Amino acid sequence: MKNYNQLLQFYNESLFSKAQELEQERQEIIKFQYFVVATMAVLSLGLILLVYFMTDRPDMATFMPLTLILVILWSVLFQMDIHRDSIRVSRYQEAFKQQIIHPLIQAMDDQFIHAPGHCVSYQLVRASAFFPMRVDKFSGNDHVKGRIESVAFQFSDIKLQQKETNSDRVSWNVLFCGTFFVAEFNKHTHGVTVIHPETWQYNAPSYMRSFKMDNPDFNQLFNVYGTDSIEAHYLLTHTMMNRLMELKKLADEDVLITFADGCIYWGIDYGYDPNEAPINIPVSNRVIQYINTLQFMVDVIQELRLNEKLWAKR
Amino acid sequence: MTILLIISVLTIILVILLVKMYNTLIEKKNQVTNIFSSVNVLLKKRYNLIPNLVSLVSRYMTHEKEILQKITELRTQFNKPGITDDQKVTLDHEISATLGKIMVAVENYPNLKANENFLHLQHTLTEVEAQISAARRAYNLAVTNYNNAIEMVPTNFMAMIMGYTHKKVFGIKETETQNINIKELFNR
Repeated sequence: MKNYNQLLQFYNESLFSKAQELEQERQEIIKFQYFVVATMAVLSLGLILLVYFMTDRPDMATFMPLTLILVILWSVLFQMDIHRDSIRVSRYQEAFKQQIIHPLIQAMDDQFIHAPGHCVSYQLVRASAFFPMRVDKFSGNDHVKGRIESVAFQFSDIKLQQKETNSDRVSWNVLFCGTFFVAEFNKHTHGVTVIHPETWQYNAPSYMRSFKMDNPDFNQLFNVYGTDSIEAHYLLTHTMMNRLMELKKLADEDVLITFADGCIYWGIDYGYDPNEAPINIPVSNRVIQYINTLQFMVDVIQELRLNEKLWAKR
Repeated sequence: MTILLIISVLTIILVILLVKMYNTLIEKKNQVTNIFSSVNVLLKKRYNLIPNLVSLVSRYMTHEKEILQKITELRTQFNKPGITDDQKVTLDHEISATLGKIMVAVENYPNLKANENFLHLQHTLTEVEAQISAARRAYNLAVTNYNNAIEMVPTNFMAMIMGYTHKKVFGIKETETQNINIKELFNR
């Protein structure tokens, strides 16, 4: 398995030319967007000036139909631009996944299986107890499965949404949009223990209780909910608490962690699909972000010593 | 009329506060009892492993009869009826220390170390020890909360009326926290 530096080297040696082509495509899309906006602004200004100079006494009655024409023109042009752009942007994003992300995952370890159209199962997401609330829409992509140091893992991007209806108006509230990881844990568990950052709003289900741990520093950073206080202490040994605090430093975003069914689940809420390539971020920056995500997953497995299984789990 | 109203309101507030204090103390006491029952289950799980360990180890260990005898005695004491929680805590210390001595002595018997049954027993003990350690920490936390409640104002007055007393936490023996004198160990 390649490490962070080896992956960067692979990117520079094998994928850099493709990334440059994609970067050109991205810049062209942005340039075209600027061009459309600039053209429409010039056209509007030209029309206003034309009407102003051609009319002896320009008044509101003259400008009202002109404004209407301009609004219609802008809307039509915008629609055309958005439609054209969305096709181009989705082609760019698809190419980014196929030409950059997929080879990167395969390069990290050729045993990893990457399925761009699939995601982790909804049952796993439910088992994590991260989202005890009602979920109306579940989607995801970029499923990656494999083993790191004999620890089976899988992860994918997921998006959870809740439907909200306010006086005949339906809106979708995003509950989570980010990466969701699952890996085998090295200890047996029979209950559920959820660890989330102090800043995260967690609506714990009624069968869980809040526990304070015997480490004040840990209590300042995390809240612990679970079904069994002894199991929470069994999982969160002093060493494990220190490692989780170290992990929090490594991750830029808030990380949610759950221990359930002999597995460890962790979710990173980015607020956007981390595998997509946003048009406003340069390709190389996006690649580095993705390599960081892959490395973070390896860090979690190594930092938490998930490979050091207890005898009972061997 | 106004004075009567004020007295009624104050009485209601006082009653609510007393009920709240009473419930808090009951909740904390029950939490301690609940966790201690789990600790008890785990301790029993460990004690059930002791006869197997002693019978297996005694076949190999020729110079440690005293330690093996001691651990058997401690186990018998734990199973005696009417043993208090505090006595169980003290016994747990002694059993942990004695088991530790046996595991150290095992190093002198390579045949025993290689025995499949012993390895199985050793791993099971390690797992149970990890669970006991977690249970001890959870118990200590619950006891600390309980002890704080019965010592702090104003719940201490209520605790006094209810006859609640200070509970003992699982701790480390003073001798176990002292620095080890390596030189002395080699001179033994």
